[in-house]
Parts: sequence; structure tokens; C-alpha cells
Amino acid sequence: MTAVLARRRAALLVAGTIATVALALGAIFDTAGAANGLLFAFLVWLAIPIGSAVLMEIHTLTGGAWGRALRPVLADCAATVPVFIVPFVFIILGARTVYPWAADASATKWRDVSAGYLNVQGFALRALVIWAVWCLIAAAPRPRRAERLWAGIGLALYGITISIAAVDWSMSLSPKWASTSYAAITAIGQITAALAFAALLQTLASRAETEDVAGLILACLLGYAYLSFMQYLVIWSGNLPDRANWYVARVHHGWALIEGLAILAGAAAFLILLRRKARQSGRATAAAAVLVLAALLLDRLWQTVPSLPEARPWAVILATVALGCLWIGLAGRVAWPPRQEALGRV
Amino acid sequence: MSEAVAHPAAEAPSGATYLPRDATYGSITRDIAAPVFAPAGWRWWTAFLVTLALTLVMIFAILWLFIEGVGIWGVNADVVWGFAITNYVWWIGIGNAGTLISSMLLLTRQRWRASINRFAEAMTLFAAAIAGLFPILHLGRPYLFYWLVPYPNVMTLWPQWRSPLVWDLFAIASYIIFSLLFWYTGLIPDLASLRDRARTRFGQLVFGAFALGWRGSARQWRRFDAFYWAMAAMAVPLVISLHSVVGLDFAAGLMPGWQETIFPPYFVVGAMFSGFAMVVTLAVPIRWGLRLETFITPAHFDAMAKILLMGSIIMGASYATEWFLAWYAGNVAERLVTQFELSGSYAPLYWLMLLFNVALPQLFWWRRTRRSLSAIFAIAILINVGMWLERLLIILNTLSHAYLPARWSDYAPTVWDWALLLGTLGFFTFLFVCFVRLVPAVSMHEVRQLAHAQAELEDDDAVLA
Repeated sequence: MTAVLARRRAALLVAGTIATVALALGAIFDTAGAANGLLFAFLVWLAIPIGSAVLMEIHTLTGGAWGRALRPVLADCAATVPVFIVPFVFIILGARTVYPWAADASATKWRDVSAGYLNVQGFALRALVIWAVWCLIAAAPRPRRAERLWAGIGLALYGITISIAAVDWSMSLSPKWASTSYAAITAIGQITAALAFAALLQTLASRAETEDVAGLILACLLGYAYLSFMQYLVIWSGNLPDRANWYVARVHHGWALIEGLAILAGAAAFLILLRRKARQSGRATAAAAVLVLAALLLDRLWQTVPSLPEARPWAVILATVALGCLWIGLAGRVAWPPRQEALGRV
Repeated sequence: MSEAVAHPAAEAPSGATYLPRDATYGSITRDIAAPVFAPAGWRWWTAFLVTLALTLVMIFAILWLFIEGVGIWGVNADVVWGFAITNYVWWIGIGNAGTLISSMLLLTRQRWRASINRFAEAMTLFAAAIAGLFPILHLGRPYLFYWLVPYPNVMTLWPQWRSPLVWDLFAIASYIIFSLLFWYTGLIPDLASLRDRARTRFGQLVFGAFALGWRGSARQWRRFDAFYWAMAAMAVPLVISLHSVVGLDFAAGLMPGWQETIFPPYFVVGAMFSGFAMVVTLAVPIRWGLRLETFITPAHFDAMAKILLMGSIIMGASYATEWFLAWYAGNVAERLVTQFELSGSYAPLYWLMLLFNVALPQLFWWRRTRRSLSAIFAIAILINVGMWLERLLIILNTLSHAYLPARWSDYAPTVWDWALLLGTLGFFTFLFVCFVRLVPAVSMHEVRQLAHAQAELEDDDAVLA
């Protein structure tokens, strides 16, 4: 898989550049559409690098063969976190066309929330802190001493920053709606995406390693499904208009179909990973990882785009392709083919 | 690479030792089985008599409740859930760590669990059984509790399947049955060891009967391992669903402060947090009373302290999320309840809870605290208190300050509330005191496996050197 990507790096960069140019051209005619599409692509792809950084922190704390096996890919993905500041700057510039509260202070539930929290200055200021922390966690060199203490601090900081980022960057797209488990769902989604992505790219050496990684993917997938379902169950059970609205908007206009596909993909991955034989097989695990990534992508689409009335299909597709291809291509510059010494088994 | 896979014990990242280097199969079995066969000392008899007295208090409190009704408690028409449901959630939370330690740590190959999983599972069993009493006790007519069960009946009664209260019945019942089976399964090889070591005919017969003819053949071990792993894998979803249902008992109500999507996972983490705190609280006296210093080492407390630290951070983040989102998009009642939490009638208790659950465990960032037995024991007890307060305050803050201002009223417990709480604590300890005399409090066969893995590792090191 890695070798395939290494060979395709040039193609990826070319495709990414073409898509970026097309998106930029589109932005001339429909700025709002392009900005909305870009936000979606940003939320999709960002999950993998920051999730990789979190997985590395977890591995530093707990140890385990899975982490040693995946570390090369995780490290390369994590190193690209700062790259995502570029699309984010465009999102801030286009905030008025993306976030309802940025254009209209009365879009929030309470006046004091618009004044004290949901406004463009506050948003930018908090983003500055989040990016500083994330660059520190993901890309800053670290002293070898007290490695595990740093990992613990890194995880705690991630927990705080993702709680803010999840509210600011995606939950606030529906400013009157709130769910207390939203940040937790976002965090586990990021970790799951990174794990599946790394499992897809890293050729695993032994059956035992593959089984560990596959087991972790299974656990993460179940965690994501569990949190998402509990959020739904509580809101369904309560059936209060201002909470249920969010789901109502996501069953009409074919959106239920998108989430249905996400659930199907997730269920297929679950069924594959349930079998021990499959968890020991690199091929089956890779297939499951693809299904997990597809499920997460569709679920993100279902969560985000119904709250982006200005989003246009062309912009969503172009931005996703552009950001994805450029990011994988660039990350490949650092990473692929995998550095042998980092594998720890030569 | 293959080395680490073959010796999961080596995964302890700090290189911490969980066993002395000179431990042999024989010494392990002898040391752990000793308390079962040795005559009980004064320590044990004191504990037995004190806890027996408290158990009588519990029985009396329950009898009086049945005679007089729930009016003897501090609950009123507004605060309809008081100590009873608090105790229920608290005990069921404590009943979580045993299964969690056993299953999750087994699945993630954290071998250090071998020294603590047996009594943690016993803790689970006793705590879950006590927890199961409270929902029945708090019913105005406890003798009708079986109406929750979908039994074939002539009154065409059918439970409300959309109610988490019905799910609760199934969750608790399956959890208790499962915990018992899981605990007993892990016990079988040890029961066989006890059978072989018993010196009385009676002991041989009883342990022999419960050992189910275990001989320790390779084939039996193979079956045992497969079965035990499968049970562990089933335990994780079970334990998570149980505590999620407890969370849903609140979240499915429309009360301000309860309708939170985070409640199901937050109750799971809270249960793990208080459960681990209780394991630490029990491990210290067990280690001292049964002279198990060899098997429950500072490295174990260090590992558990780290888990407590993680739990406290998640709890803190959850509290903060609740406050923030109540302000951010909550309705008027939700904002008022949050204000009431932080500055209302129960605010001192709330701040105390935050101190115990969030602030104090931060001391575990320092290795010195994690390695100090008295510090970790003290903090673990305070976390237990903090988690009890948390459950109490979830109930009181919301019910004392719900939608209708005309129905804002405070709650004060009566002597019967306290008697029942104290009595169940005594009963729990009583069961534990009996447990440590009847079966080995530490899993002998798993500690022997740990010794085996450690010895192999050292052999490899010797060859390399």
C-alpha cells in the first residue's frame, strides 16, 4: 500500500493542484459555496493528523506492539498538523458565509453567548490557542526525558482543546443546538480515522501485530457507534424541539440514505473484524479499515452539510479531493517509503 | 519484535516489577492460599464482628422501611429520589471496576491485573447485589417490583419498553449473573489448588465439588483460556451497557440538568473512576491483613493511580462541558440549575465534590504521590466520598430546582437514610471479610502465569547478556 502511494505521489500532487485551482476559480463565482465546501474537507482530513498525534501519545503512555508497528505512519501524519492552518485561515476569512452566528448576532440562543463567545474575534482567538497547542502536541520536538509525563500532559491538553474546537468549528454551525457528548464523539472519530488510515498504509509484520491493530480498530469503531447512538437515543427519548431539530434536518432530503450507508459500511467493517481469522489477515484488516474510513466520511458529511445551506456538491467534492490529495502527497514527501530505522525491527 | 509479543508482561512500560524475582509456583500458591487455611486472627474477628453489627443495622433499617414505608426517609414530593437512588448509582458504579479490570485489562494484556482482579471481581459481585436492592427499596410498594418483569400474566400488564427503568431491570439482572459466572470461572483452577491443599475431608469435598473436576491438563487449560477470553470480550459491552442504562435513567427524564447526551458515557467513566477508587481502598487493608505485600506492590498502586488520574480529568472535562453548554444553548431552567449547582443550597457540597473528584487526584501527576501508600489510600477514599456526593447532587440539584419555581424545595436526609447507607457499607465489608477467608483473594494461577512470563523474560535477557 505504501509503495503504491509512493509511486502515485506525483499524480496525487497534480490532482490536488488541479482541484485546488478549480476550487479557487469556483470561489470567484460562488465564494460562499467554496468556503462551505472547504470547511467540510477541512473537518474530514484534519481528523487523521491530529488523531495520529493522539494515538502516539496514548502509545507512549501504554506501550504495545500496535503502536510500535504503526508509529512510522502516525509520526508522518502527525507532522502535517500545521499544514492545516492554511485552509483554516481561508475558513476564518469566509466565516461570515459559513457560520450563521458570524453574520448575525441573533442566530445564537442567548445574547450574552454572541457577545461573550460566538463571535469572529473570539473564534479566531480560541483557534489561535488550539493551533498552538496542537502544533505543540503533534509537531514539536520533545525532550527524551520524562517522555510519558509529556504524553500525559499532551492528552489532557488535547481533551480540553478538542472540546473547544468541536463546539467552535462544527457544532456552532447550528448555533442553537448543543449536545454534551459532541466533543467526545468528534475526538473518538479523529482517533478512529487515524488508526484506520495508519492500518491501511502500514504493512504489518506479523499476525499478532495485525490482530492487535484490528482489535483496536474494532474497539474504536464500537466506541464511535456507541457514543453516536447514545446521543441519538437521549435526544429521541427526550423529543424536545430544540434538540430534536438537529436530527429532523438530517432525515429529510435523502440525508437518511447517507447515514444509512455510513451505518452499513460501519456494520460491514464490524462483521469483518469480528472474526479472529480476519483480524489476523492484513488484507481483511485493510478492507475493514477502508470501510471504517468510508463510514466516517459519510457520517461527517451527514453531520456537517445539512448545517451548511450554502454548500454546493461541486465545492464539497472539489475541496475534499484538493485537500486530501495535496495533504497525502505532501505527507508522502516526508514519509514514504517508510523509514526503516523507525520500524524498530531491523 | 516477536519478543514483546511473546511476553506481554514485558509491556509494563516503566519496567515496573509486579512480582519478586525469587517467586516460584510453590511459594506463590503457599503465600496466597495461607489465609484460607490458617486460623483467623484477631484482625479478622474484629472486622467480622463490627461488620456483622452493621449488617444488622441494615436489616433493621430495611425492616422498618417495609413496615412504615418511604416516609421514614428524607424524600418529599419534589425531591422524590434521595439517598436510595444515590446509593444505587454509587454501588453499581463500584460494581463496575471488577469486571472492567478483569476484562479490559485482560484484553489489553495488562498482566498486572493478576494480583487485583480476584478481589475486584468479588467487590463487583457484592456491590452489584447491594445496588440491586435500592431500586426495589425505593418503590412505595416494593412487593410489586416484579411488575417490571414481562412475566406471563392474566392482568395484561406489560412493561413500558421505552423506559430505561425497564432496561435497568434487565441490565442489573444480567450483570449480576454474568459477574458471578465470570468470577467463578476464574476461580476454578484455584479451587482445585485448594482442594489439593486442604487437610480436612470436609475441605477436600467442598473445594473439590466447586472445582468441577479440574485437573489442570493441557486440554482443560486450552478450553479454559478460550472460554475466559470470550467471557472477557462479552463483559466489556455488558458493563458499558449497564452503566449507560443507569445514565439513561436520568437522561431520558426531561428534567433540566439531566437531559444530557453525555450522561451514558459519563456514567460509565464515573463508574470506572469510583470503582478503581474502591479497589485501591480495599487493596490497602487486604494487603495488610492478609500479608500480600509480595503480590500487591507499589507498582500496582502506581498503575491504578494513573487510571484514577485519567478518570479525574475526564470527569472534570465532563463537568465543565455541562456548565458551558448549559450557558451556551440551554433553556432558562438549565441555566438556573447550573447556577444553583455552583451557588445554591448544596453549593458547599458541590465544591467539596469538585475538590475530591477533580482537584485532589491531580496530585497523581507526581510519582511521589503515586508511590506513597498513605497518600493514594487517602485520596482513593476521598474520591469514593466525592463520587457519592456527585450522584447525590445530580439528583438533588435538579429535583430541588426544576422547572416550576413553586416546587423548589430542599432535601434533608433522616437518620434512616444514614442507617441504610452505613448498614450497606457494613454489609459489603461483611461479605468481603467472609470472602477472604473462603477463597484466595488473589488469583493464584494468574500470578503463576505472570511469574512464568517474567522468568522467561529473564532467561532471554541472560542469553542476550
